[in-house]
Order: sequence, then C-alpha cells, then structure tokens
Amino acid sequence: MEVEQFSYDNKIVRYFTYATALWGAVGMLVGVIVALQIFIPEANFGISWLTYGRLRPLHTNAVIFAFVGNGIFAGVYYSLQRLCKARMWSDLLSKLHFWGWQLIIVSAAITLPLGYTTSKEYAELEWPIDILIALVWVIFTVNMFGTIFKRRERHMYVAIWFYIATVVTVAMLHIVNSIEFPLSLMKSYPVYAGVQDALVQWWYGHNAVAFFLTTPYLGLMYYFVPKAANRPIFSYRLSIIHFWALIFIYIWAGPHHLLYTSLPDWAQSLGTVFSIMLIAPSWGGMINGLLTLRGAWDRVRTDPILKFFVVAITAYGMATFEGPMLSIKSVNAISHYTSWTIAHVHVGALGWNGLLTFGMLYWMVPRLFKTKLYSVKLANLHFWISTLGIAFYAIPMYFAGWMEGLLWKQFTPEGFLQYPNFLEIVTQIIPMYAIRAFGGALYLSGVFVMAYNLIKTMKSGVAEDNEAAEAPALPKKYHEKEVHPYRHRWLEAKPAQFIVLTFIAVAIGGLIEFIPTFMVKSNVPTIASVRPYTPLELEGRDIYIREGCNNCHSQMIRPFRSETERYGEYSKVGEFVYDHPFLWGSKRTGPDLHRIGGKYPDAWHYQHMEDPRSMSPGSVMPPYPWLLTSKLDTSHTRDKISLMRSLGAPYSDGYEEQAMADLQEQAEGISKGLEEAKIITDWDSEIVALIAYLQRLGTDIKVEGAQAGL
Amino acid sequence: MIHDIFTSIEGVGLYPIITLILFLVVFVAVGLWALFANREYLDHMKQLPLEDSDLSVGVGERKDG
Repeated sequence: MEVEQFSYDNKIVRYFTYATALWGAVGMLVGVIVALQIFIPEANFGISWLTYGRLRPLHTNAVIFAFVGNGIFAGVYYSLQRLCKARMWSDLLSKLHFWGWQLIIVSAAITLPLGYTTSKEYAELEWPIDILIALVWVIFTVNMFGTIFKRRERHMYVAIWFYIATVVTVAMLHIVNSIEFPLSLMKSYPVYAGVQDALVQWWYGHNAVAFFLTTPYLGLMYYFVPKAANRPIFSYRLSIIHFWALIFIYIWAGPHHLLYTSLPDWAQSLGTVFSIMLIAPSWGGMINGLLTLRGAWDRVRTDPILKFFVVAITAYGMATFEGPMLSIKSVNAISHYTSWTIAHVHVGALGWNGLLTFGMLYWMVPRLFKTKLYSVKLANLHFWISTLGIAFYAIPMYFAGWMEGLLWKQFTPEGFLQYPNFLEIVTQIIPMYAIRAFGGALYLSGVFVMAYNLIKTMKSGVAEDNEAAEAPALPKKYHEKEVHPYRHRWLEAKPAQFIVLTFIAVAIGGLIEFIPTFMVKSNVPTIASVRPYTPLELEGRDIYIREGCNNCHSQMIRPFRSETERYGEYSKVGEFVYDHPFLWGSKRTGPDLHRIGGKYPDAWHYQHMEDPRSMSPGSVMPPYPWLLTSKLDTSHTRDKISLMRSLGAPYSDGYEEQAMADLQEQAEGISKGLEEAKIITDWDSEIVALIAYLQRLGTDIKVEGAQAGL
Repeated sequence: MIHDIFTSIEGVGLYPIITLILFLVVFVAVGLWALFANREYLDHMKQLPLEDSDLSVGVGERKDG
C-alpha cells in the first residue's frame, strides 16, 4: 500500500488556542464584574452599558461561545486531523472559520453592552450576527466533513461521532431558535410567542448546554484523556452506548427548564422523565473517562494535566447527577429562580469545561511548540487555585439558593408569609454573593497563572506551522472482507449515513415536543380580556428588553400558595399570546414582575428607577437615571404595529395611522399623573413608556368582560 | 383543560405510542450493536488516539519547572 506524505495544520490549532485563553480571561473577568455588581450596584459606575442587565448576557456569551467555543475548535482541529490522518480539508475555510468566529465575538462584545439583545438566553445576539453565526458554522461544518471524507483511516473514532453530533445539532438549534422577523438592522422579534417561544427557547437553551458544552467536550475527553494517560479508553463498547443514548435522550429534556410554568403538563413531564434517564448515559461517559486512568492513578499525583482531567470529569459527573435531580418537580419547586441553578451551571462551566480546557491547553501547547511545559509547579498551582475557586464559588451559591428557595416559601404559624418583603431575603444572601465573587476572582487569577506559564512555554520552543506526517492511502474501493473484517463498518465507515442517522436521532425529540404544542396554537386557552400591547407599552417593553430586566426579574408566577400570596394570581398560558419574545426569565435576583401592573403608583416607579434605594432601602438594583432623560425613539412604532399584526396581534387595519396619536395620549396621561406627584417629566421620555409597560403587566385578567382587540 | 385540548387533536393517542416504540428500538439496536461488536474492531478503535503519540515532549520532565 502506498504511503502518502502530508502535514497537519498546527497553525490554526495555535490560533484557536490563543483565542481560547484570551477570551477565557475576558469572559471570566466580566463574570467577576457582574458578580460584584449583583451586591454592589455602584460597580457599574452609573454607565448604562456597564449595567448588570447588559453585562450578564455578555458574560454568558463570552464564556460559552468565546472561551468554550474556541476551546472546542482548538481541540477539534488538533484531534480531527490526527484521527483522520489527514490535514484539514481547506486551509482557507479554517482561516475563515477562525476570523469569522472572532468577528462574531467582537460583535457580541460591542452590541450586548449597547443593549441590542433578543433577550433569549444564550441566543441574545441580534439577527445580523445570527446570520453570521450560521455562515461561520457552515464553513466549519464543510471543512470538518471535507476532512472526514478524505480521511486515511477507515474508521471514525468515537470522538469524531461527538463532533459530528455537535455540528449537526448546533446548526439545527441555532436556526430554529433564531427564526425572527427583523424590524430594523439591530432589532427583531421572534415568530413564536409566549408558551411556544418559551418551549423553543428552552429546547435551544438546554441543548446548547448539551451540544455546545457537553458533546464536543466529551469528544475531546475521548481523545485527550487517553492521550494524557497514554492508555486507551476504558471501554469502547460503553462509548458506543454512551454516544447514542446521550444524543438521543438529551434533546427531549429541554422542558425541565419550565417546570410549574404555564407550559402544558405533558411537556413538563416529558422533560422530567428524559432528564432522569440522562443520568445513565452521562455517568456511563464519566465512568468511561475516569476508568481510563485504571493503573495510572499514581501519575495523577504528579501530572497536573491528569489532575485537571480527573476533576473536570468528576465535575461532569456531579453536574449530570444534579441536573436530573433539579428536574424533579418537587426539587425544582425550590431550586428554580434561585442561585442554586447558578451554582449548578458553574460546577459544569468552571469544573467540566474550564478544567478540561486547561488540561487540554497544557497538553497541546508544548507539543505545538516542540518543547516541554515551562513549569509543572505553576500548572499544579493553577490546578489548586481553580479547584479552590470552584469551591468558593459553588458552596456559597448552593447555600444562597437553598435559603432563597426556602425563605420565599416560609409561612408563619398564622399562615402569612414570614418574609413578605422580598428584599429581606436578598439582604440575607449578600455575604454569599461576596464569597462567590471571591471564588470567581480566584478562578480568574488561575487563568493568568496559566497564561504566564503557556507564554513562557511558547517562548522556549519553536512553533511548527505544518507538522509532517505519513499514512497509507485509503483504498478507494471498499472490499468488505479483504479490508476490514469488522462489523458496523456500514455505519462508521460511511460518514454520510452516520450524519443522517445522527440528525434523525436529535430531530425526533424536538419534533415530538413541538408538533403538539404548535398544533394546539389555535386552541391555547385564549383569555378574552387579553389584548395586544398599546403602542406606548410596546415601546416600554422594548426598553425592558434593552436594559435586560429579564436577567433579574421573572414574569411567571408559579401555582404555589407562596407565590400567589407574594405576587398575585398565578400566570396563565393565555396571557402570553402577544409576547414576542416571552419574558418569563430564569432567575429571581429581584421579585417576579408578572403582576406588578397596578401594584404601585406611577410615581413610585419613576422614583424607583431614578434610585431604587429611595423606595426600597437596601435594594441591590442599580439606578437607571438615563431613562428619565432619554427621549423615546418612536421612529419604528408604526413598523412595530405592522410587524406585530403580521405575527398575529389583532390590531385593526390601518391602526398604524392612529398609533402615534394613541401613544402620545397615553404618555401625556402618565406624565400628567406624575405632575400631580410633583414630578415633572416629558411625555416622550423613556421612563414614561417603561412605566406604561410595567403598569400593564398582568392586568389583563383583571379586566372583567373586556373584549379582545383594540 | 389541557387534556381536553389534546384530545381535540386527531390521532393524538399515537404520539406516546410512537415515542415509546422509537425509544425502545433505538436502545435495543444500540445495545445489540455494542454487545456484539467485534473484539478486534474495538481494539483497533481504542488504539486510534494513541497512534501518533509523541511522549518525548510535554509535561513532567523539564527540570527548571
């Protein structure tokens, strides 16, 4: 058989490696900043684009898509070439992928603080960036499949299966969740509304965790753990079951993010059942990773890379046990909306993704530079700093989460809420917020130790852009018995079939959840008194979205006595039919706002926005003084009405002509009312629109006998 | 109320059945595949990541660390 000479593209791996470390530091730095802001609101320096509501999405996007994203690409570009015994299919596509992805990250870093957001978690970027993401993802996909198709190794190692599942599923998730109608260059509305938007969003959100933070990293685990331990994976049989069971079950579990909400019960139960089943494949994977170190445990004591891997895989095991537990309705009743979720995701992000990335970087960088690691001691130091950082982060957050979950529900013997003032509970967990910020800062400092160590390593070696390799060519014609006597070649030796099967496996779960939910569209219990938003309220809602209020406030009262006592009537599915996008939120740093309408006078809201502490002493909400002075931008009001009508809101024909007059009339009404409270404000200031929206929230069901429509 | 909505969809009873069957088929198929996989094939696959191992570089040996 003819041996072919070729080379591996190490340059692209290096580029992604630099980007991983750089964006990791940036993303975590923003994390530390928001961790401080959550209990020291002044830490935003009174600048609108540094507020928590705008920086929190920047933090999550930077860590997920910039740090972990570049980490995935670095690891995939390194391992895929070697597993396929082939150079990446196209150097040009590799470069376009790299620079395109960095452009997306920079666009996110600019637009999110400016308030351009769709409000959908982990999918906040506006439509032009969404299109760019899709294009860059296609480039990556083509390059990856091109490499797989021209490989010199007949069989695809299990890591490649995970990579394939990742590219196929992320493409599907991104496209389905980003179907939105553009209003202008930087503003769009999702086609889905209310409960359907929520279902699609959390199908996406959950599976972004599954197929961006989990499957690619499992692929990396299956490659780099055997490499670092210098022994094969514990059980290849187990990896086969692990892969198919995981990708098939994961996709169904999204509704566990919406337990006790207005989502139909059957969908909630489906989410719970599949989440619990997920323990099996997840732990199968964890066991497979850990047992790969059988007989090499003594090396874990001395090799920091193995230490990082062992703790990363253990964190994966903890997070994937905890996730299903949190999906049990009675546990979720306590955990949801609290800091418990934050602790949970950070065990995953800091432990599993972070530590696995660090281990991988320590393994790859010396090899890319043909040298040895500059300092094993510093790598060990980094390991201990980051492990301690995780503990200092997670433990106080668990404690805070349990306190929130329990104190929110605490009744006195007489049957009244023990803590009727939400703020009383917030102030009790401030010390935990402070320790968490310390834990995050500790973890971040470890990244700087790593950066120093890796830069020193790079300087001591020489980068080789193209690493020479050789392998026998793969015979074009595949004679079953002669070439390979193995079973299952029909699947793994044929990537096209494999890709199709993977797509079917991940598409089924989504379809089974969506079809009934979309079929009932016309039957969703529509409440006759629920009307579309007025033009002013629509504008106010967009300010609410721009400021990222949904990052701290939910709009979904669950059917518990503790919640109906505190907030009012529980939320009904029919109340959200005009909500493009839904704004149910996922965390209650502040109280729920679904029934805030009519609870306080307009003047209260005005003063609360100017300085929250004037109305709620001890509040951790930042002031929003710019809302008082900024003029409301009404240049798109008419278009918003037309767009909302095309999405199903029953505005009468030609209402656009009337909209501006109605907006002014409603705004002047609010402004006059404020005047009576000795507050002078222009009717066309942003605060007026926001007050109109807040006062509307949750009031529709209180209107007896009103008719739908305007 | 939700129950009433779903019974109004024609043939909605098929959904849980399709789901269950799909589920069982996938699991039995994957289980059988793994169970009857060829030992030689499994060993070959296991070795794939280790084939280009270069242990002369990397962690653990540098003295000035």
